[in-house]
Amino acid sequence: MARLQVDDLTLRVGAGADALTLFSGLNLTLEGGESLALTGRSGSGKSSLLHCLGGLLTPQAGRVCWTPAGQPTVALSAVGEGARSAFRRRHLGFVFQFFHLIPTLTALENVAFMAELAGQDAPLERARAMLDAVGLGARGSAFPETLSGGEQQRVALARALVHGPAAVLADEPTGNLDGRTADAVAAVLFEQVRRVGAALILVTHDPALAARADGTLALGAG
Amino acid sequence: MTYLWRARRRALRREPLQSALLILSLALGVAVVVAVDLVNAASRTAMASASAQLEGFSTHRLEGPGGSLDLATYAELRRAWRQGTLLASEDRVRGFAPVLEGRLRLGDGRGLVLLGIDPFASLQNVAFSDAGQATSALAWESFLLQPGAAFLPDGFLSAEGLALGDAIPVQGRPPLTVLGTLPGDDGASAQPLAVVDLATAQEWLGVTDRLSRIDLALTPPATQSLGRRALERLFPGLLLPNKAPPVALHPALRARYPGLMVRSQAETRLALGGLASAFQLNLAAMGLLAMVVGLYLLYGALTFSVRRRLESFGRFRALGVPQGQLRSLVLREALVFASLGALLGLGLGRVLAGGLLGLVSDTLAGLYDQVAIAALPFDPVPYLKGLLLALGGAFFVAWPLAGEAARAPLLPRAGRPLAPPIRLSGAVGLGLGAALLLSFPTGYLGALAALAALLLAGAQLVAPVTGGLLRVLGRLAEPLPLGLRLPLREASRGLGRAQLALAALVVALATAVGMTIMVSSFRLTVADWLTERLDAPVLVRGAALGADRPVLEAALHAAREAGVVSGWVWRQGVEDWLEPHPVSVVLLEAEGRPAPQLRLSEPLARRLARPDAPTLSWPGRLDGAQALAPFYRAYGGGRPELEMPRALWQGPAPEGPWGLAIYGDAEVLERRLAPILPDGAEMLAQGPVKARALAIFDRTFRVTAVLQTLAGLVAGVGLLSAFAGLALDRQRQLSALRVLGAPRRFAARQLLLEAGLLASLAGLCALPLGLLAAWVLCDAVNLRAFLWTLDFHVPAGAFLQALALALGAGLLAALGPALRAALAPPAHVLEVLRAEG
Ligand SMILES: Nc1ncnc2c1ncn2[C@@H]1O[C@H](COP(=O)(O)OP(=O)(O)OP(=O)(O)O)[C@@H](O)[C@H]1O
Ligand SMILES: [Mg+2]
Repeated sequence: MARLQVDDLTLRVGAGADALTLFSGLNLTLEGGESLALTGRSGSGKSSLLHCLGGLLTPQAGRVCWTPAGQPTVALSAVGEGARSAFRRRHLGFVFQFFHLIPTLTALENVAFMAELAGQDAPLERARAMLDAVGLGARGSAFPETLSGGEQQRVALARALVHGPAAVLADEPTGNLDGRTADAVAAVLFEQVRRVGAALILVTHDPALAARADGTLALGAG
Repeated sequence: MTYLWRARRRALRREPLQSALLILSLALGVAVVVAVDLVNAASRTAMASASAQLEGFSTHRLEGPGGSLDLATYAELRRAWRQGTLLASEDRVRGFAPVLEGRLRLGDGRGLVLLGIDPFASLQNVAFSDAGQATSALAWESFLLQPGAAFLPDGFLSAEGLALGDAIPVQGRPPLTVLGTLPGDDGASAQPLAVVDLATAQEWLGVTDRLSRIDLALTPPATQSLGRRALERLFPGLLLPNKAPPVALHPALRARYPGLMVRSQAETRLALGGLASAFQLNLAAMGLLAMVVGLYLLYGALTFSVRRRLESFGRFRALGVPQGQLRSLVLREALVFASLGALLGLGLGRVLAGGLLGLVSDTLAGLYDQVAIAALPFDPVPYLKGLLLALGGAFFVAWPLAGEAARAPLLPRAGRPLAPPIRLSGAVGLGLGAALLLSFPTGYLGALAALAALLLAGAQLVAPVTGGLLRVLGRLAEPLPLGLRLPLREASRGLGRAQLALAALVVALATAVGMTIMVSSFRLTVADWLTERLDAPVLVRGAALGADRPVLEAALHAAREAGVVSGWVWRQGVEDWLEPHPVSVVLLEAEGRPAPQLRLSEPLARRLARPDAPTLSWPGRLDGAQALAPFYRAYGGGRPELEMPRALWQGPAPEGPWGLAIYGDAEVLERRLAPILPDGAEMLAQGPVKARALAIFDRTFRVTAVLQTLAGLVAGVGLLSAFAGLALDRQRQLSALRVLGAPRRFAARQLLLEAGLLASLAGLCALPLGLLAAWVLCDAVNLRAFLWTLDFHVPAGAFLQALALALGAGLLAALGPALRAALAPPAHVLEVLRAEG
């Protein structure tokens, strides 16, 4: 089982008079198959924490250590940028609020592309299976423009999971969807993450969504 | 309005590179147009001024065989002139001025043209510069009485630091004294030329029994039509010199003095100038081309900038902003960009012209040794033209776009294409127009217009053809990984943004390919022609052939017996009329060589409108109809020629310059013949003569290469701006990929692959278009302008070079954005993603 361990994490942004400490001495552990919701008011540093976990931001102090199933531990906050991006493409999946699918690739290709990036063989077969799993098997040849917001986000979920990641990091994955669609997407997200055995860390303003998670971390509360 | 404009200004400031590149590409386009015009106008002025100094007010010249007239003939002609029976036509002869022309060497070895005139009859434009005090009567007196008194060009005197009264040392003769100046345009011609009294000329040149020619001033002098003058002003060099109608001597004089000819001064100038005209035409055409490429880029940039904002224009309209305001916003923006580009371009153009001047001046000096350009004269027309072109072009391009902005849909439509709709009808129309221009006798201007139409038609086809090729490649690439297929897809999508820049690149490359093929065909043809002309290892030529011929002939026979010489050909010319054309007849006598044949030169055959006629009848010159061999190539310009065996000729005996081509061992020949060469004859080895001719040719076309490079540069800047824009559009997508874990180099590789693909496909489009352009240049423009055809020769290098250039330009243009994408720190990546939220 994959595992995430965060010790004593401190992140400051900005410089000089504008400098702002978003969090300090933050500790956290998460096992594969578990889910954690990050909540807090706007500007409290939810996205920033997610970026620290994904190795996109470097904390001023503390460690972010990932241990993918059956693999040695990687201290993401201590390795170089090349190693971080290699770790991301192999062991992490991302879901964005605004989907960010590649418009010139079909739904299927978008998913297969991630598998290819992760260095897996038979990316198309994996992608097809993953699209079926999120219920979009029939729309594989459609281009993102022609899909609805909910469908696009389901393709993005398939992309985040196709390479069997240790964890999925999702920043307001339903923030751009209407209530009903948001529920459906959230259902698929939790179901598939559990199926693959990945951990899930999601940022959300939606208490209902946060409630689905095994745990909640409220930022900015002090 | 002010708020809209302010918002727009801020938006533009946020993309400074885009605005800067747009202005730069426009400025470069304007600069090339201005520079070419300035240089062309300067070289025209220099040539006009040089000929004005040599010709004065005269319009024609009367020449004897071999460029000399004995004094008795002169007296006879003068009488005929007084009686009004000099010419066959009704033309009144206002002036009749004897001239003795020759060459001296200055103290430092430079040549000096000495022009001896009769001051009372002279048509020269001389001025006594001691204005004020001394009466001009006194000056005239010194001119007549003081041996060695000379007028020299202003420019020459000031360049040499000479003042009135100074002595000018001359090799082997007493010095000349500066008495006055020959006015010349400032900036043009610092040529060494001295006008002296006839008596001085006779003494200094050592010629007392003859004249060089008689200058004539015929009224009315030919005037140019207003349209022609305007065209010449606007597109200097585009119009070839007008051919004056031929003027013939009175039949009685023609019968009596068969070798005597009247030529227009323009024709004399043209005799030097087949290549010079080709050169100027080339220059003018390149200037036009740069203009087309520049306007194309302006069109591309403005179109994209408006189409991209249609959605926001629609939102403004929905908010209630009147259509007029949106319209004027677009027009204003276009005019601001155009003015900035034009102003920058005018300055750049002036600088560029200064740089080109040396090259052009060298070329002119190689073609005519009398012409030099010292500096650029001030001429406002090219600047005004550049300014108007940029502003007018911008307005012309922006007007329909302004309408589009004003009619922007109130509600955004999904899946709206960014690419302007592709209209094949434009390409088809232009192609048809070109075909019509080429199939009817529309002259070389028609052929040039057809060339422009073909290039534009080709430019319109770039987007659909490139798109088609990308689709085919996409299908072929299906088995490849998605990381490699993605650039193909993105290139297809980027075509909308880059298509006009690519079209401009295609136009520039196709022209470069066309020009390269044309110049290389031209060079090869001229080299062949020279080889055929100069096939003998040794050439001897002299001014006049008299008692020397038997001596030479005897030496040649002896050499043949000794096995040193295999054969020889004598050639001597007669100037004559093959009604209604003045022609040069070349009479050939061969010994030990294939017998010469009666042949017309290509320009003559075409002028007579019967390139394939089997026989030629020429009463009084040939006995009945004589069989004609196929025409031969000739690229000399000047009078059209024909050649025939000496034995066939029944006209007046040839006098004047002769040539002798000898086939044999050059080294032995030179040793044997040098001692017995007649006075004034020179012996030349074939190699150096040919090399010199080709060197002049190469120098002539070097400027074209420079201009091609400049046009390419304009297109390159367009490409730079297009690819920078493409990268900007891709920024968010590439950032998202970085978050997903794509390595840094991934984004750079994507951008480079896309740009390389688009540019090399454009390069591919340029090849057939370039071939077509070359064909029009060789088979239509040259044939119509100069009555000669060129052997089509396609150097393999031209294609490879164009492809390499396209690929190189594309990669280079994408290098900046690619590096920026690769070097962006992760924090920047997040910012880009955040910016959308
Ligand atoms: N590079 C940066 N420089 C300066 N300030 C920054 C930077 N990155 C983030 N911040 C600031 O840090 C704070 C936290 O930002 P973050 O995006 O993590 O908030 P968030 O909790 O995700 O808010 P939201 O719910 O609105 O998305 C904000 O006040 C933001 O302005
Ligand atoms: Mg956030």
